[in-house]
Amino acid sequence: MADKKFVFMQGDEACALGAIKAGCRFFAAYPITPASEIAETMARELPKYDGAFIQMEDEIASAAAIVGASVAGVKSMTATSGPGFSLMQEVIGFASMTEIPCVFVDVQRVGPSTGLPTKPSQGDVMQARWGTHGDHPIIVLYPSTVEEVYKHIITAFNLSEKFRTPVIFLMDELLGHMRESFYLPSDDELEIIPRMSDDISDEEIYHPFESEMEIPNPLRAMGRSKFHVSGLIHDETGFPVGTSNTASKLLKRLENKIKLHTDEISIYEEYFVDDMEILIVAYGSVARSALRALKIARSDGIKVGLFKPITIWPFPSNRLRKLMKNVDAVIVAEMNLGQIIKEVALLRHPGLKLEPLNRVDGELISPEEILEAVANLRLKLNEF
Amino acid sequence: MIGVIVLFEFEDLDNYYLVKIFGDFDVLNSGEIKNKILEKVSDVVSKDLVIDLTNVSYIDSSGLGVLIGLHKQCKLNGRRLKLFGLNKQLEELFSLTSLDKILNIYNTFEDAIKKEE
Repeated sequence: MADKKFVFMQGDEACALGAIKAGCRFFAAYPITPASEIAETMARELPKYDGAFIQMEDEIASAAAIVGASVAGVKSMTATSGPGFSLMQEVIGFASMTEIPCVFVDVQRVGPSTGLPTKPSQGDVMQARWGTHGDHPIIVLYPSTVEEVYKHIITAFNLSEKFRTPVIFLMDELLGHMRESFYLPSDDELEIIPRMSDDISDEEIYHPFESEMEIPNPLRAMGRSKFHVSGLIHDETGFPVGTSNTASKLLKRLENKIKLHTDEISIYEEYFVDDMEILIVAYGSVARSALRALKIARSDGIKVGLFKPITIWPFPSNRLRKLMKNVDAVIVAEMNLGQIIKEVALLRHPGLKLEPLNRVDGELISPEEILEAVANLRLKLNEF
Repeated sequence: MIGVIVLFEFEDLDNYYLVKIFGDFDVLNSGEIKNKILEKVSDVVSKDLVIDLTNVSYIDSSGLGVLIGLHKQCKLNGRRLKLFGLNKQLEELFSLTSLDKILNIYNTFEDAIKKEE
């Protein structure tokens, strides 16, 4: 550990500093609680790396600015919370259709509308998947510790570059505002996918939408490379083509570039799953409570396991389905009225008991509440 | 109910209160620990408060917030908050946040309770 830097960092700060480490050099945003500290850190730090920070007039403009910056050749990011995230949806769709890498951070607070600005929520999980219109691919990550924020915002940029897609990075107020200590990873522990250089000869013609294994060519900066970018259905050249065949081909390729690589994109953690009888599914800040509850239950000899997805979309269904085969009951704990549980329900086998544990009052689900849910579930199982 | 979550032990001794905290001291339990300690010592802290961190592996910002609050409470009443038993990572944390310059940190229990000249 001697060569590693020990830090005590806020979640929002870790998000900003991790993004800079990943190569982000353009950040545009409009201040909003609880994401403003990301903008503050970017405003302070980005100029040191020859990067640019712009406070835009609103969140729509912020989203559009980062898409433009990315097409111009710079890794880019914006950060907001629920109300701003709603405004950004149109641009997320555009980035998805035009396959422009960029990262959207949503530090969730209680909604809808302006809700509870200073309280955590996990109410935007489905919005992150389906907030924009039309069938579209998306990658969504959601860490649960400050250390994971730092690590996986880098993952977010890498996935965005590799799959040429917007990546949504979910956090919540608790994670954004808390401070935790950890050792920063050393450079040789980090893999960072660089943006392709713009070193192209005058004779070479760049086709930005030609693909291999459904993944388009890496994005080159607009400038020396000249190409057309349109939200309309387009062919490999980028120019609009309004035929049914082209539409079907493009939309299926967009879907498949993520779907066919789900296992590669999926990041999750498992705890005590080998002999478990009850499985807890929890993500983000709630996973912290679940892990604490799990350790207490295990010390009492109760065979509980935990599945913590960090990649929320595409949902890591393959692994979870396998784990669920071995248990009689699953508890899904989330700070919403039941969003991911609907995805888990699709994987259940006949006879499996599925229990929701929800809070929407801006308070974190506690380890005690999870233990109580486990105890109640055991009683129910014993009744049969 | 499953499991008994032992957050801390409290002893009311002749010259000081002794509190032993167990496990991680973080956002999941810091509020409860603070309330329970204040229930025991009341707002008018009449003796020094000695906190044993030997069994604490990790503290986050909410845990530090509780320690700072208790330090202030003791100071208001002319008493001292004394900490001992920090592991290496906690030592680094207190150094990084400069709290080692504000809080009274000792290597051992004996050092913490030793009468100062």
